[in-house]
Amino acid sequence: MVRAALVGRWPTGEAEMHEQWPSSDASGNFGLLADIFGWIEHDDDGQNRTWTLTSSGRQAALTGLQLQARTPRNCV
Amino acid sequence: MPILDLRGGTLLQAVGRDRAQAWAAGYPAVRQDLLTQMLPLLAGAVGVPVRASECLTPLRWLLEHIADGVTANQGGWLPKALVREANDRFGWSDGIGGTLKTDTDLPELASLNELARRVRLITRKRRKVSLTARGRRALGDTSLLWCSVVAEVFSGGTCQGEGAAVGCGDSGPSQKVGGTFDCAGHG
Repeated sequence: MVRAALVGRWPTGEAEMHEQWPSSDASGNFGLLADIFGWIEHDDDGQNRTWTLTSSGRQAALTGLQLQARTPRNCV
Repeated sequence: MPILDLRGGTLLQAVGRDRAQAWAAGYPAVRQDLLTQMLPLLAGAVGVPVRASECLTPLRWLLEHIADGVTANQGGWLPKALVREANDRFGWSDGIGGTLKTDTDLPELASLNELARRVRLITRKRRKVSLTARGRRALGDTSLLWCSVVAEVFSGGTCQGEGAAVGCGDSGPSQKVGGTFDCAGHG
């Protein structure tokens, strides 16, 4: 389960502390696209907005990271 | 120029390992630590789940409707008829916020449109939006469409899904779901 607030950020170990990393396009919207493709399930208890990757979301994440890892850096 | 250490493997394997290490080595340190730990999980064959086509239905719908071209309005947005048809098909908006006029009124369609443009599935010349050659190929090739989309959505530089992917790494990416077929070379 991942906090919605973590999108675009990396956890630093403490649940409420995050470390930003560079992003070339802030308009990208992971949550909306992942929802459209059925990759996440929402779990909103009113205070903590969280979501979980579905099975197809996990497969998509795996493939996405595999392809990123295999892409020449000057082509990203 | 540094010399690749083949470590008893092939040159191709060494290049792949070098690329993966370079990818994992990016800032910040916590990212580097997590991705370096994940590299062994990412070494396997790239596959496409059997449900990929189903997941991509909304994007394929958009590409099919753009097909030979649609004319954007004067503001450059997708035409109203297409926006309404998309909402009729997928029910993204309940209409309470007002009449749907452009894709700015339907964030789901706007996001798909932007994604399709970023991965070069569609292009726009003046006001005409049409499929690229890659977009036409992707319509008939689920593997190409899936790999194009996930590589973009789960990148660290655009849709910011990379952090989300790693955030579930302890329970997810090592698991294979359903049958797979090869999508090597579509990255």
